[in-house]
Amino acid sequence: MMTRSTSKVLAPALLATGALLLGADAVLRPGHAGAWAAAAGVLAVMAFMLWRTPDRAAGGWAHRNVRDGVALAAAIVDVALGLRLADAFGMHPQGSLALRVTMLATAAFLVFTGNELPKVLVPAGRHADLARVEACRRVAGWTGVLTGIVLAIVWVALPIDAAMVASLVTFGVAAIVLVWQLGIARRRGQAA
Amino acid sequence: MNQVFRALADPTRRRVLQLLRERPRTAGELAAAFPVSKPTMSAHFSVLQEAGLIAAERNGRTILYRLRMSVLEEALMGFVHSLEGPKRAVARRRRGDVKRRAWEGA
Repeated sequence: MMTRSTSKVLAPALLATGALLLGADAVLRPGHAGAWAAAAGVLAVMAFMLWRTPDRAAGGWAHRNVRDGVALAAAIVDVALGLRLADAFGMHPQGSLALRVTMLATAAFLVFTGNELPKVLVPAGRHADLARVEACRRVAGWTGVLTGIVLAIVWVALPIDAAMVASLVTFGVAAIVLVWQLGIARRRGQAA
Repeated sequence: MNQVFRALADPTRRRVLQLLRERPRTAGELAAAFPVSKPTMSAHFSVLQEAGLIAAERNGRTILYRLRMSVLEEALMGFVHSLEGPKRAVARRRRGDVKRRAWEGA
C-alpha cells in the first residue's frame, strides 16, 4: 500500500511522464493521431480526477484511493507509451515481452483495486441492506485480487499461447464465481 | 501497517471484526457481546478505527460501526486467527497438565 505522501507525489509524476512520452510518440509517429488523441484523452481524464481530489477532508481516505488508482492507471499507460516509443527508436522489444508487461500491469491493477474495494464505504442511509452491499463488495474484492494473482502467475510462468488461453479461462471462471457468489449473497438477503 | 498488526494482535478486537463481518452493529450491540467494561470496549474501538479497519457513523445517539478491511487485511486476520487456534490448544493442554499434576500431588 502506498503512503499518503507517496501517492500524492507519484500520481502527478506518472501523469507528467505519460504526457512527455505521449508527446514524443506523437512527434515520431504522426500517422497514429487517433491513438495519441485517445491516450491524451485518458491522461486528461486522470489529471482532471486528480485535480478534483482535495488533499484532505473528512473523507480523506477515499481521496487517497483516487490518487492511488490514478497512479496505477498512469503507470499502465506509461508502460504502453514507453514500449511504443522504444519501438519507434528501433529498439523492438520482443512482442511477447511487451504483452507480458502489459498483462502484468493489468494483473497489478486488478489486485490493487480488488484489495481496496471493500474499504470504500457506501453511505449508510443510501442502502436498506447495508450488510448485503458490504458482503457483495467483499466478494468482488476477493475475486479481483485472486484473479489478478492468477493472471500474474500465468503471464510470468506460461508460454504466450498457453497464457492467452489461461487468461481467458481465468476471466471466465472469475466472472462465473462472481455471479454465483453475488447470487448467494442476494438470496441470503431476501431470506433474512 | 504497524497499527493494523497491533489491532489484529488482540483476540477481542479480532472478535469485533468477525462480528462486523456479519453485519454493521451499534456500539451497544458490540459491547454487549463481550464481558468487559464499556471504557475497555471503547479503547478497542479506537485502536480499530486508528488502524482503519472499522468506520464509525453517528446516527442520533447511537454509533454504528462498520467493517472497513481491505482484502489483504482480511487475509491477515484469517492468518492470525488460524495461528491462534493451535496456540490456544497448547495453552489448554498446559492448563490441563497443571491441573492433573495438582490433582495427582494432592
